[in-house]
Parts: sequence; C-alpha cells; structure tokens
Amino acid sequence: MQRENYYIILELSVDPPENDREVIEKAIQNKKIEWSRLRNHPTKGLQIQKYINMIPDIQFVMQDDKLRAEEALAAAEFIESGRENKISEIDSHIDILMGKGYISKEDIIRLAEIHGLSQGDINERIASKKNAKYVRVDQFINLRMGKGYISEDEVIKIAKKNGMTPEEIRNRIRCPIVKDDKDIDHLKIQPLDKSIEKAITDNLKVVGKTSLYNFLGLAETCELKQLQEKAGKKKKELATIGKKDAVLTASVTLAGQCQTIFKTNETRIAYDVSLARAKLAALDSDINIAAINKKIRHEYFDALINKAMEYGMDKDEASSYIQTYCQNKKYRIEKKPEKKRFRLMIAAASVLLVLIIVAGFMAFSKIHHRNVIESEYQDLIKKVDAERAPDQKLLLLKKYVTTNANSEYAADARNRISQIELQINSTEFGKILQQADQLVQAQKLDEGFTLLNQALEKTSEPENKKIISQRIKNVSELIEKRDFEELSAVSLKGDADQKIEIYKKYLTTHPNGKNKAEVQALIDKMSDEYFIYVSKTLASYEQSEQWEDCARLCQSYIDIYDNSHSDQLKQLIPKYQENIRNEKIYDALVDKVNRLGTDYKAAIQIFKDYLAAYPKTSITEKINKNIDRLNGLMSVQNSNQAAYNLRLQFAKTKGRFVEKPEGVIVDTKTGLMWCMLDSTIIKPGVCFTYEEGKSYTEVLTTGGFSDWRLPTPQELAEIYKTDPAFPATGKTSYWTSESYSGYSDGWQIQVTTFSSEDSIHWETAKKNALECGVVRPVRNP
Amino acid sequence: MAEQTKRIFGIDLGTTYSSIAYVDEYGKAVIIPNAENERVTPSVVFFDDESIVVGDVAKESSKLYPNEVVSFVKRSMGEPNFLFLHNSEEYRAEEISAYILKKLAQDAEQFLGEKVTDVVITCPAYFGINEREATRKAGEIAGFNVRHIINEPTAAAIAYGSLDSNDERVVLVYDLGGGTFDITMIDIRKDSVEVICTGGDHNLGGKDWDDRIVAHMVELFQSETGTDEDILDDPDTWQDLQLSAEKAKKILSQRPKTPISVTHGGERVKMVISREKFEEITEDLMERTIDFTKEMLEEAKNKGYKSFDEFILVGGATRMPQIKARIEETFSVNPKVYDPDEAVAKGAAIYGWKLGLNDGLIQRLSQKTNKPIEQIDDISVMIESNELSAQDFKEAAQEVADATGYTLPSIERSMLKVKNVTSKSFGVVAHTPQDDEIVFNIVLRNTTVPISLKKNFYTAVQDQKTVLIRIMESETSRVEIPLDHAVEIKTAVLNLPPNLPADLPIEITFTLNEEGRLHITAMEKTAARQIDVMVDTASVIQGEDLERAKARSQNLVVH
Repeated sequence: MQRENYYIILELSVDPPENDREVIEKAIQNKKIEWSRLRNHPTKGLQIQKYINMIPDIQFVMQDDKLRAEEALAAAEFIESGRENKISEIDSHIDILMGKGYISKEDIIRLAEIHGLSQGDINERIASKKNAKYVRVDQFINLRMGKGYISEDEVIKIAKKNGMTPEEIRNRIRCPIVKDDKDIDHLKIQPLDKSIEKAITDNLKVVGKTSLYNFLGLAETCELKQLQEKAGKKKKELATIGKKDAVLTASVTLAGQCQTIFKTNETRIAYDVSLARAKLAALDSDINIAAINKKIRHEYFDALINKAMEYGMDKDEASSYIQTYCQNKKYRIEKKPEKKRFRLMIAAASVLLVLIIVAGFMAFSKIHHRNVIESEYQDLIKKVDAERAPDQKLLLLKKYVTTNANSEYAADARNRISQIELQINSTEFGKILQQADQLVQAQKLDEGFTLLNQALEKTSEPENKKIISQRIKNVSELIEKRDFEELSAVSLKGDADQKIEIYKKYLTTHPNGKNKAEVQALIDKMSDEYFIYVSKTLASYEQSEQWEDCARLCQSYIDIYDNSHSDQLKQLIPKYQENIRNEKIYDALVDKVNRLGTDYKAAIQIFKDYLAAYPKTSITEKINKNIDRLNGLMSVQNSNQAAYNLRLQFAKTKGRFVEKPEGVIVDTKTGLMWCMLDSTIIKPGVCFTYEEGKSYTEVLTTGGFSDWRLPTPQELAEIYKTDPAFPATGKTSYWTSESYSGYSDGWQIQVTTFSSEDSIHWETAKKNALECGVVRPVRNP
Repeated sequence: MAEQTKRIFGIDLGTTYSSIAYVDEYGKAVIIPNAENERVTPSVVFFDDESIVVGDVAKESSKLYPNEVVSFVKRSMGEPNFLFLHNSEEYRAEEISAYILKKLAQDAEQFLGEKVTDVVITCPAYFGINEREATRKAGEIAGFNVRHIINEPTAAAIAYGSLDSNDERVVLVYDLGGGTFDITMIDIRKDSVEVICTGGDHNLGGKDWDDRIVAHMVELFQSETGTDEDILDDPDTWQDLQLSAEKAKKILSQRPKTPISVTHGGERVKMVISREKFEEITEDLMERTIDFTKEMLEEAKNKGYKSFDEFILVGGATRMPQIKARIEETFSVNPKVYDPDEAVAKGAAIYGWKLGLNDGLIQRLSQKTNKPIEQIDDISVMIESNELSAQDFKEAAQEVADATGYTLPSIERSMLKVKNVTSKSFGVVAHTPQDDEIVFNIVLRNTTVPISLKKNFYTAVQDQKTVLIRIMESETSRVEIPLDHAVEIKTAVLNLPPNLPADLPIEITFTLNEEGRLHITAMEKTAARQIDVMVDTASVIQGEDLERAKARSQNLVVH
C-alpha cells in the first residue's frame, strides 16, 4: 500500500513547496506534540500511533533535498487526484438534488459548504454532469452517423429513448439531418479519403490515442473553433521539444492533420463519419464472416440482427443496416422456407368441391316440396299484416323461420323480419343517441362512452355505425381533455407514484391521445424523481417485509425506464423473489407446527431443524421469535406439572403450608406468603445472577401481588430447617436479601445464599453476585 | 528493624492505576494507601501551572484541562517520539512516569515515616528491551535506587506462590491490566519461580474496552441528534466520555445495564448500554487475548509443558464477567480471580524483601569468610560447590533472623530464584550472500535469561575506524527474517583501534540480564583488546536529557 504523503501529513505548503528546513523541523516537532497528545484517542489512537512510527522516516525524507522534492511532486499529484475522487461523491449529491427537476441557488451553496469547495466548482460539476448524460446519447448518434446522415425519425427515436427533446439531439449531431431516407440522393457525403484515414489511424496508434479529439484532449462535441485553436497550440508545443523520437514525429504529423481536418465543418463531418464507420467495422466484419459463398443463411441473419442490437440499434434498424450492407456487397440473404403452403392449397380445393356437390343436392329436394309450402306461407303473411304491434309480427315470422328454415319462403320471411327490425332499431337508435347526449351534458362522460360503445356493437346499419363512431370520437376527445387536465393538476402537486400512475393510465386509456408526446416527456423527465420514490418506498416495504410489493415496485420502474437506475433495480428483484419463497416456507412451517398442538418440544424441533439447514435467511428472526414463544408455552406446561406435584406434597404438611390464593403458599406459623414455584421451575435452565434475581422478583405478580422480595437467610431457615418443611428438590442455592460490596471501588458484590446439597441439610454461604442462584420470592401478609 | 536490612518497596507502575507495597514486620505484604487513603492511585499526571498533580485529582482535572493532563503514559514508554509540552518545556514518557513513582513514594513516606530509597518496579512481561530500560530510567529520574525490574505476571505468581509455599505447580497467569495484556506460564516451586513462556500485547488492555464504549456512545449521540460531527474532536468531550466509559464498564461488570449521558455542544443525550451490547462490541478484543493464550500454550508445548495446574486472573479488567466465562468455555478450567489490583505490587514487595534479606546474608557471609561482597552472588550455588560451608550459612542465617525478627525458614527461603524469559527475539542486521539486508536473530523469544552470546564480526577494510551494529527486536521465533519485520531498537558503534588489518575477527558479546536489558561488549581477539562500544538508544531518555530530567525531578514536589 502506498504510504501517505509527508507534505500533506505535516500540513506544509505544496504549491510552492515548502523548502525551509527550519520551518519543516518546526512542523515535525509540532506534529510530535500533537500526536503524543492524541496517542490514546479512543477512535483515532491507532492511526496516530502509525504516524508516530513514521516520524523517523519523515525526518529522513524531509531532510534530503532530492527525496523532499519528489515528495512535493507526489503531494501535488495527490491533491489533484483527491479532487477527482471527491467528484463522484459530489455527483451523487447532485443526482439526488436534481430529483426534483432543478437545482436551486440554495442547493449550490449547501453543496459547496458540505464539500468545502467554491460555488463555481459546484456549478462546473453540474455542467459536466449534464455532459456525462450525453455520453449515452452520443453513442446512439455515432452509431447512426456511420451512414453519413441521420434521419428525422432517428432523431425523434433517440430523443425519446433518452428523455431529451429532439432539438437537444439535433444540437449534438455533426452530420446532415434528412427528413426522409429518400432525401439522401441530393446529399454529397464526402467520406474521408481512405489513405488519410489510415495514416491518421497509424499515427494515433504510435502515440497511444484513439481519435484526433482524444489526441487534442477535447470532447467530440466541442466547437470547431476550439479544435482549431488547440491544434495550433499543440503544434507549437511540439516544436519546442528537443528529443526527436517516433512519438514526437507521429505527434507533429497528427497536429498537422488536425489543422486540416478541423478546417471546415464539411471536413470535420467527413472525419466524424469515418470515425463512426470504424465503430461499425466490428459489425461489418461479423456480416462478412457470416456470408459464406456470398450467401447468408436465414439463421445467421437472425444472429446478426441480435448482434447489431447489442451495438445499440433497434430491430428494424438492424435489419435494414444488414440488408443494405449485403446489397452493397452483393450478398444474398436466404429467406425462411415455406414448405407447407402447397399441400394446404390442395386440401382447400378438395373441401370446396365437396361443398358444391352437397349444395346441389339440397336445391333439388327443395323444388320437390314447393307447392305444398306456398299456400302455408300465404296464410301466414295475411296473419302478419293483420297484426299491429311490430314485435308480434316479428314473433310470427320468426316462428315460421324456425320451423321452416329450409322453406323456399324462409328468405322472404327473413327479409320481412329485417325490415321490421330496422323499423324498431331506428326508433331505439334515436333514443340511445338522446340518452348519450344527456349523459355527456351531465359530464358523465365515461357512462356516455360505454353506452355508445354498447350501441355500436349492437348496430349493424352502416349509416348508424358511422353516426355512433363520430359520437364516440367526440366523447373520447372530451374524456382525453378531462384526463389531461386532471393529469396536469397531479403533475404540479402530486407525489411521484401518483404522477407515474396517472401518466401511465393516460397512455393506456388514450394510446393515440392528443397530448401523448407531452405525457411521455413528463414520464421521461421523472426518471430520477421516481427512482428516489421507489428507493424510499422499497426501504419501507423492506422494513415491513412486503417482498411482493418490493418486486412489483421494481418491475414498475423497469417497465417504464431503461437506464442505470433500472439496472440497479433489476439486481434487487432476485433477492425479493428469494424472500417471497422464504415467506412461503415460513407459512408452511407454521402450518406444520400448528398441527402439532401442544407438543411444543416437537414444534421447536421443526424450527430448529430448519435453522440448522438454513441458518441465515430473511425468516430467521421470525423463527427465533417463534422458538421463544414456544419455549414460553413449554415452560408454562412444565410449571403446571410441577405445581401439581408440589400440591400433593403440601397436603402432607399437616396444615402448616396452605395454598391461598393460587400459586401462593401461606406459612400458617409465621404468616409469610411464599411463591409456590421458585425460579428454577418457572425458568428452567436459566442462570440468575443476583441482579437478575432481584429484577425477576421486582416484576413478579404471582397471586396478584406486586410486592414480592428476596427473603432473608432467617426467613428461609424458618421454612426449610423445620418439620414439616417446605418441599424442596435436590441441590439448591437461594439468593437472600443480604449483600455487601467486596471492594472499595465497587468492583465486586458478595451475597449470602441459603443452600443445600440434598434438600435436608441447609446452610448459609457467601457467593459472588455474578454466579448463578435460585430465587424463592416472599412477601409480608 | 535491623540496621543492615534496608527496606525495599515494590511498585506496580500500571497504565491506568499504580500502587506501592512493602513487607511488614510479620513477613506479610501490605499495600500502602496514598494521601487520599486509596489503595490504588490513578496513573494520571496533571501539569497545573507550576505544580504537578498525580492521581485522583489529576484524573478529575482531565475533564476541565484535557490538554494539561497526561494519561496512559505507560503505553508510550520507550517511544522516542513521545513529547509532552507544558510551559514550553518538553517532557518525555520516562519523566512523566517518574512523577507517578514520586507520588507513590511521597505518600508512602508520609504514611510510614521512613524514606523510600530502594524499589523493585514491575513491567509487563511483554515489554521489549527499550521499554524495560525506560522503566528503569523512570525510577532513576524519581531518585530511587532501582534494585530490579520484575515482570508483572512473575510478581503476581510470587505473591500467589507465597500463600502456600510448599505446593509446587504450573500456573497460567492471565494478566489483563488497564493498558497491557500478558499471558504467562510459570512453574512455581519451593525455592524458585520459573517463567516458561510468555506472550501478549502491550497495547491491549481495559482501556481498549473503554474505547469501544466511547465509540458506541458517539454513535448513539450522532444518531440521536442527527449530527455527523465527530464529537471526540472536542478534547473536553473526549475526556468526559473516556471517564464515563470506564465507569460504565465497571458497572456493567456487576449489572445488566447502565444509563449514561453524553453532553456536547449544549446537547444532552441519555442512553442505556446493556451488558449484552458491551460484550458484542468488545468480542474481538476478548478473542485476541484467547488467541494469545492459545499461541503461548503451543510454544509451551515445545518446551515440554503440555498442561498446567491452575489458571489465575490478575489485573482489574479480569473482573469483566465475559473474561471468566470465555476462559471456562475455551480451556475447560475454572480460573481463579486472584487479588486483581494488588497482587503485582505485593509480589514485587515480597521479591524486594527477599532481596533485602539476601543482602543481609551476603554481608554476614562476607564478614565470616573474609570474601569481598562482590564475590558472593549465588549463595546456594556456592554451598553446593563447597565454596561456602553449610555451617557458615546456618550461622549467618540465624544472625539475620535474630537481627530482623523474622523466622529462620523465611530467611532461608529468601534465596528465591526467579528465572525469566525474553518476551521478544533480538538480533542484528546482516547481509545475505546476495547482499540483501536481513535480520539475523541472536536470541529467540522465550529464551531463559540471563544469557550471554558471542558473535564474530570481521573488519571489511584495512585500518577500519568503526563498526556499526544495528540491533533489531522482533516477535517471531525464526532465526532469519526480513528487515521490515523487525524494529530497530539500538545502534552500537565499535570504535576500533588504529591500523587493524582487514578480515580481523572482533568478538562481540551480547548479554541479556535477568531483567531482560541488553549489554554489549566487544573484544579484538588477536590482541585481546577491549573495544569501546557506544550504544545509542534514542528510544530511551539518556545523556543530557536524562540529567536535566533528574535535576528537574529532584526539585519537584508532586501533589
């Protein structure tokens, strides 16, 4: 690891470097004093010790003229690189503040304060941050510049994809923009001469640069004038260098080329186009490899499209680029085979033939029955004409059609039916329109819209359809207007999620809405703000373990945006899915445990087995809580059993010890009231130090009493060293209320205990308060 | 008290607390309380304008005058670049430690009504050569005749062994003090206390546990107030928290939780720290002591000690319950907490007392045998080799017993042998055949001291004027190690006589005495000429600085 710089540690001036030995010696002495004082600092002590250990080397380096000069140089470099490191931190702060859509003057002042920089520095950073956003955009532009021009369609696509306006994109394009691909004929794109291009590329290789822009140290988007100035300056600089080696020669040549290339906008465009083409060279080479015998198999074509999409093209662009390239190269692209078509045609023809034969046969049998049916039909028509109500007429005719569907007169009957229906419909149609208009007037636009749509479905009359469609169009325009107004209101005041929700809803309801572009722009602008909202909400969902909501929220962002934030969120989803799976496992475990009823031991084992197999998952904590809960239930179970056994023993004390109320034993001789169960039964296996024992007693509410205390040694003797005695089980050591401090500084406390090895012989003993003991609480009546 | 047995006091010069003890007329080691009637004195020095205050008052003053108070100075012993500035006067660690020693001695003098002149001072077993040297120098600056520098675990073992002197056993002494940690295996026998192996870290102690509490309090303060200011940059707050943390640690050793309040910049935050949290944030420190213990046990195995009889805990910080629990869990033993604050000073006093009695014996034997005192050093060896008659010894012992009032067996047992080991390896910078610089270790750590080793150096050119030897200290048991794995502790310059030929052997003797301090002598073998050796140890106060510090200390009354 590189050591820290001594100029910086000693806080000496770097620019110009401090060289006065006396000043340096004084600085070292001051540091010695400062570090000696901080030597035992609780958090910085180690770092300070490291500095103290460095003093001999500091003295050595700073007293040597040559080493000191090197140190000063390194310090200057370090300060510069420190600035760069700081930049990423500042950038992240700027991102957050930009979330609201702009950066205020107050924000700049605050950032300057936090980072100890001038406001100018922060402004500079905001500007370059904006430039950084353009890197992605420039990549898209460059890719398309390869063909020598960019179309308006492409400009709009790029703008949309990057959340910028087409105007912003146009400003960054350094080649002609055409309205239509057809317009390119009039363009005279002069690509750079191949030999010049190669000479430039070769020289750049020698000096280790990637482009003339890179050689001059300027951005590809900078002004022509700037490029010209820099090229002139570079040439002058190079002329002063005495050492004439390959690098210098190449550099001088490049400087000259810069002056030529960056002379006019046309020459520059030519260079830019070549540069862009070079970027596409990788794809071209893939196409060449795929073209075996000047033919590209259809599977290869698909693979090439995928490859082109990786470079940043969309599917259509990719397909068109590859096709054009192949056309120029005279490569043939194989089409996908259509083997099944011929067989299908034969099958269809056969079916048609069969149908014709069947229809002929049917016609023949109809003629045969003609006379019989004629008179029946005439009777029916008379009946119909006599009927007044149109629906009754319909009923008669429909009945005839149903029973005589194959009759010669069925067609006439049907004709009559449709005429009557038309008559009915036109009356109803008028009613519906009237109803719809009323709804619209009452601002019940959605109901009106639904009604009209229903009517449209029912109507078969083309004229009516046209009328309804026009009405639907008008109503949807009104709805669009209303929705957009509502959306505009939300966009001013709403929260990020409300805004996104309403924007999305708008785009779904009005896929061709008048304000679609504007809404899309609003969505694009919100990428940072919505990300902040998503991050915050995720944090709260995580807190409450709403993993499905987490995954859904991430997905909702990813569905809308394709940027670095969405990449970040994509990485989170697997974690959430893992947690969702764990939750399901947890539910299954709980279910299994619940089925065990009061067999708590087995239930605990189920949880413990799971923890043994998966010791650290998102549900570990919950499982542990369950184990604690089950342990609690088990101890209640155990103490109930112990209480039952004890009651049998108290019954044999000839009335000396009586239970009253439940869980409390009254010593009828002294009147003292004792807890029936001691701490070993209530909390089996738990070590109670003296302090813990006291706390245990203080919070006890057995029998409804809250004044339980530790007994004195005498009180314990009174119940155990007597006959009949309080029932006891085996080796026990009870804490008593007698304690005293063992040391003047409070380090150690000694306690008197009342102990027995065999529950028959009892004695008092001293014990450290930190050891384990048992508590038998008592209270005065 | 007999005229010839001078009282030798034992001083435990600790990182956070110090104490002084002596052996009373019944042969029992007793701690002497300070002027404030406390048995231990905080090792804190407050430079109050013209006077110097040591102890409780100084510790309390650290809150108000943080820049005028020096604490934990023991951690900077042997540190050449430690410098404390007060009234434009510079003070080094040795001098500040001397003030603590002076305070202990002054209060003892007042209590006993007799002058404290001769002392045995303790230091961690894990101290290197320079730190030991610095400890001795601190005693000299305070104006004492420093009879011996003895290791703290050894002193504790002597005190422990003196309880029942007939029982022979191997004990592990786990000594976790305020600033240092030592783990030492000691073989206690009837007439000797022998250190088998030692390990540890002189930058690991109770203070590190305190520091963790401080850091935790800062974090809680920050989250409560929403500030991200490092409140420890304010010296007043730092000192305040440091003292609160020490108190909290002591309370947490007794109780499950403790309330603390932090006040800074007009804001006051109340917080509660639980023992569970405390143990969680200090677990790694605990683990480090366990690792050192395991390493030391491995080294002891190489010396044939595969087990031990007892595990004793010394040092105030061993009162933290997690220490005992963790040791029980790891080593399946029941460690004994043995007189954690006082065992070291008492052991040093017992050792001093035995030195005094031994002095008396030697003086009597010298009179009886007409041998000069310097010739009688190890009485038991001299009796075995018949240089002294058993009869003379018995008579001399009886006379000392009569004169001092102590029993004959205790006089006889005063010839207690203490065998020590070096805690670090030391060597010299040498050149490999490829001319790379490496460190060649002459004495490896855990070698029994005293030890003398000779090594030949050869002159490179004719009429060479000087030879420079760079002495390096390291913590490995390997013979050859890279240069950057060791620390340069001294340089020795041999001033050669004129006209020596090239390639002449010069024999250099490195002696580590029983205190673990290094002496170097050189001899040009062909002419058997002693060569002048100049040892330069910038790490320890010496020369003019030492004289100035002594003079300053003589005229100073410590409060």
